[in-house]
Amino acid sequence: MTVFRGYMKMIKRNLPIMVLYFTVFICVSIGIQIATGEEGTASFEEKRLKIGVVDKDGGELAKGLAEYLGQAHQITLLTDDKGLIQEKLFYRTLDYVITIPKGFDEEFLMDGNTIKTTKVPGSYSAIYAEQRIDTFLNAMQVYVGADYSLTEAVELVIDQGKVEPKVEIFDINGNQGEIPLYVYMVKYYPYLFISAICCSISLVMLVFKNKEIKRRMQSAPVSIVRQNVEGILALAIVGVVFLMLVLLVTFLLYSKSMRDDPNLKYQIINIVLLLLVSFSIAFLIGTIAKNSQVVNNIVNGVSLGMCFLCGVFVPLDVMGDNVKKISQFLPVYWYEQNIEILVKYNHLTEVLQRQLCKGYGIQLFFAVACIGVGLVIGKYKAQES
Amino acid sequence: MQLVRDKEDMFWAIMFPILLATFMYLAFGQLFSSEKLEKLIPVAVVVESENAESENFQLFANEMSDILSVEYVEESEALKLLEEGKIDGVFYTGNGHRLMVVGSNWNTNILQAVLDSYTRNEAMIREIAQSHPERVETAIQNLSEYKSMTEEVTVGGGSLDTSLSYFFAVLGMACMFGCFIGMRCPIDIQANLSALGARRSVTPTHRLKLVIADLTAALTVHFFNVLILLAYMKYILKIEFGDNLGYMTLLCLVGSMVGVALGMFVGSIGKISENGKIAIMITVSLTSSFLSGLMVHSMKSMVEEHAPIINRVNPAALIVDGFYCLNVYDDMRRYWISFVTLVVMAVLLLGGSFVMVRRERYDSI
Repeated sequence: MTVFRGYMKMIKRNLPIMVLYFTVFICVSIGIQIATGEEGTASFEEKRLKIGVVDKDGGELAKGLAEYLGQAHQITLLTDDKGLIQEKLFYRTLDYVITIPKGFDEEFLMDGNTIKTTKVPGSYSAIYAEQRIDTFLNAMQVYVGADYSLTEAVELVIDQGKVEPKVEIFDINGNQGEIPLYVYMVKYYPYLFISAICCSISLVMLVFKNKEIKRRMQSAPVSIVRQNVEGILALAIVGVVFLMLVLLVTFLLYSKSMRDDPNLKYQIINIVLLLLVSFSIAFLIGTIAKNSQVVNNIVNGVSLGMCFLCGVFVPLDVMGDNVKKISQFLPVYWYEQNIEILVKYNHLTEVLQRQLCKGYGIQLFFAVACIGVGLVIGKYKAQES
Repeated sequence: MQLVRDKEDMFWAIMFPILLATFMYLAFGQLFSSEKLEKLIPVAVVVESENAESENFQLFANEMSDILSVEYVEESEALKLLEEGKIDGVFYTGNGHRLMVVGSNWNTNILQAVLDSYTRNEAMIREIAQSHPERVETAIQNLSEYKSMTEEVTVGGGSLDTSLSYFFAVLGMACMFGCFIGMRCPIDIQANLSALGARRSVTPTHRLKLVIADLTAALTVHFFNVLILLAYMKYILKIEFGDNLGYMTLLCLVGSMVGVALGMFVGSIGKISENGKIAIMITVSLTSSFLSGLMVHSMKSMVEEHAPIINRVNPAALIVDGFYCLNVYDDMRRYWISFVTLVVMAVLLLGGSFVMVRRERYDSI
């Protein structure tokens, strides 16, 4: 086991850097989870926005609109000062600004004029304010068209704004439709696993690419297969320790939610397969790349790219079918699909179990294929040198 | 020129941001550009009792055929379909309207909005039927002409595309990744770090001259890479960057300078191994890009809310802010503030780097 010991020695030497990678990537993953957690909640539950209203008209309709918006959001009346609006949006004192033009009452009722809105760039939540404005103004047109006075119409629309639709949850996951908290973190594992494992493992693999070390190993009476197996075994230890640490951090943060999940064992199988996938990608990158900078560029491309395409950073629901067809070739897509099944269903029927196994199988196949390709490239490169 | 000759390094340095921008473009294409749903949302309607209310709802559901794919079934069948994931929700009608879903997602959110809209419209028509029955037909006609009454504009008056924030963040990250090119410069100057450094140390050329020459070469190469990315986004992906390309290029130049200067600074720290330096740079550039909204677009706003000082000193956030000022806020004053802050950062980092590499003496052993 000389090669194994050699790898372990290199792992020990690079341990501080590996710890740094682990810390950075886990912090970034937790940060992403917190940020998207807030955004995700905002996507489905109406968030109270800070809305600025520039009322250049001052008419009844404009006042009614401000009052109607005020039922769900926090309203601030603003003067028409571009610098002030820029300032407030830039520093997030306001999320959204609407400008009601002069003569809005008359023009709106005659021509159905639109009003101009400005939001903080990148805010999904603004859609709720837009919906509310649309509902108010469309309802006003209906009432006024039916011979109601402006005052009556405003009063009626404001009253009707207080009624909420009745939505019930069909509890099939035993958690009232809510996703167990720890799964929010598990969803972002692909970024953490691929980035941290690739960066750490490649550190060690690159050492063994040194021309002199390579020549010495080739002249040793140990077959290339055995050298590869011992190397993979040593690197696998890094993977296993990494997995333990990640699960430990998740458990410390969400112990109750993990313990209560009836599908925990299936989630863990999914996570172990993701580890295998990440490990195989790391092995392949380590075989192809010749230095740390190239590794860094490839790792960033692969990890961020997969996360954007496979539903980690952007929900799959909102992606086009053509994009999903590409995503289906990637293992992270199947990892995320399996999570979807496991959080949605408490009891796994035969059909669901088959779907789950398909996801597991594709991940496993991808991992084996990557390691196979890595070994072939490694052998080809060794012969070439 | 040595930097350019390393083809593999150059290939990945250019390819990585281009690939990332392409992946983002694919992922966000549907989200922001298209307002039309590609697939209908499958739902079931359960009629609890036959009456005028349920008849109206069925008419409404049929009219929503451009969004919904409706099946009329018994409750047990509907719940079975819901459990199997074949439909996204069940509308109950006849004894008041309600919606049943298994959890929250994009589609159930749309279903909720559909029910909300129907409930309000129904209340409105009921009110009109009581007070002005002769106007009900006109009201229904007006209802069917529902349209968007808002027009989104930037403070400057131009239109705004939400996905822009991600592409700004990619540009910010690409600038920051100049640190990997910049790191080579001090390594190639210091005798204890490379053979080339040893050779250059014995030349009579002033260290500042060496530093400036290396910086210029690294900056030129990196800036060229960033320009390729900018051109790719603008002309191949057709991302709407507006008419401020000159100022954007200038910001890319100063951003690239900060990236390269950061690399030179970290590379000058003598006692850390090359892998250690790369790890530090990954940490700094990645954290900086993450906080500027690379992975989650709302991150920068969250930082602004909770710890605004970070946005004032985070180079990637300053680059992104500069792009916002040009394309969204139409605010040149803040653009120049970001610009000058970046220049100051670059000068400080280069100064620090020079202080570390100057007057290095090596013992004869």
